[in-house]
Amino acid sequence: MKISAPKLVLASTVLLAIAELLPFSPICVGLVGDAHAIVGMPMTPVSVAGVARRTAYRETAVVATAAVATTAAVAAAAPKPVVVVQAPTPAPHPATGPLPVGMVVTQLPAGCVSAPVSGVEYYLCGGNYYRASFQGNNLVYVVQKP
Amino acid sequence: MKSKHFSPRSILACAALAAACFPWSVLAQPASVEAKADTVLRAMTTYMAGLKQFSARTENTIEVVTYDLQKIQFVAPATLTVSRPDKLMAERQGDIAEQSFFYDGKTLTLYNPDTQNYATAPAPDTIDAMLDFARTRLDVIAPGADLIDTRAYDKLMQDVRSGTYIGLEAVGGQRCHHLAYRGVEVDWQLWVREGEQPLPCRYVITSKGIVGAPQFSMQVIDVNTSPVVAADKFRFVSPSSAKAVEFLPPSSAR
Repeated sequence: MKISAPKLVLASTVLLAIAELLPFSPICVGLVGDAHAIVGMPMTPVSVAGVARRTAYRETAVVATAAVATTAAVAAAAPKPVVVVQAPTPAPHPATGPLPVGMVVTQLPAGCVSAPVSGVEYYLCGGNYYRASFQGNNLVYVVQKP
Repeated sequence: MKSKHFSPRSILACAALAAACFPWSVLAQPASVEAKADTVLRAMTTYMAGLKQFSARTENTIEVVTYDLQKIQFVAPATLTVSRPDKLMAERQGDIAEQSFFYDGKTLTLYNPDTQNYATAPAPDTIDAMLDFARTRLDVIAPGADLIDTRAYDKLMQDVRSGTYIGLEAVGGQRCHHLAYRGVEVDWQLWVREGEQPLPCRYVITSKGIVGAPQFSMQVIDVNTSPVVAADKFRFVSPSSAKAVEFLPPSSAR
């Protein structure tokens, strides 16, 4: 059965609301997303679960909030005062083999060579082309097909 | 088609739910801010907004919480030069986070000297609008941006539930009024120089919704309210070895 648009809107509003009602809940860690990007420190030598905000203003976290809405609902159903956040399984980062275009990494794998294509700077690593980009304050590398 | 039709009732229901559930609307009661705290905050924001040109040196710290709940604090010195209404240059130094930010009224540029990469984007024509643009559209946050916006008072007060005047403290060799404000997602503290020049002395933001409540802090080392600024200070000139890259849209940044 197709879910109607108003129902979807309602459902997501409720989920958003639940997430917003739990300002002290550890689920907010999920809102942080790629904390490295927020820190702006690509070489951060630690696996980061949460990072301090650098502005008192409300952030535009609509996309991130929607993404964790399901988690929020689960957390709301069974609230726990303390949750030790589990480190995520490291994303597969093979040195060889084709990677999906658009994949973002904070560091290039070993053995990259500079490979400009029609004046655009790429790094060629294990058969994959990467292009440097700024993700917020943070320099990252995005898998591309030149 | 039925699924695309929004009945007035469902729209009302949504609005009611949204109003009932979002803390910053459900708690939209008058914030209880002590008069003395408000006077100091207004004095600082008004004074800062009125400074046509200034430069500042700060020491910024940002805390992260690891998955096993260890707190790590990163420290980086920063410099900031502002020329209202439409020029700003900020630099972060240090091994981990060396970075320069240029805004000349037309474009903004982020430059990483260590990797020799820079990205440029067309920007709105005032510092205020540019800061909003950089934060919301590029995810780029300039250190200390909260306090230099000419609308700083309104923006800081956006989600405030309470504000307290703590007292006078010696911060970085200055006597400063200590204010402590509480918001929905963050609490923040601000120290403001006593006397004729109500400049910020220190600023701390606590992200209380995150495990371990990590903090950002900015310690103001010194402020020059009449700096000599070279005309080309705000314009990024690309070193010949530097490579242009692009900003990823924020949708892919999260």
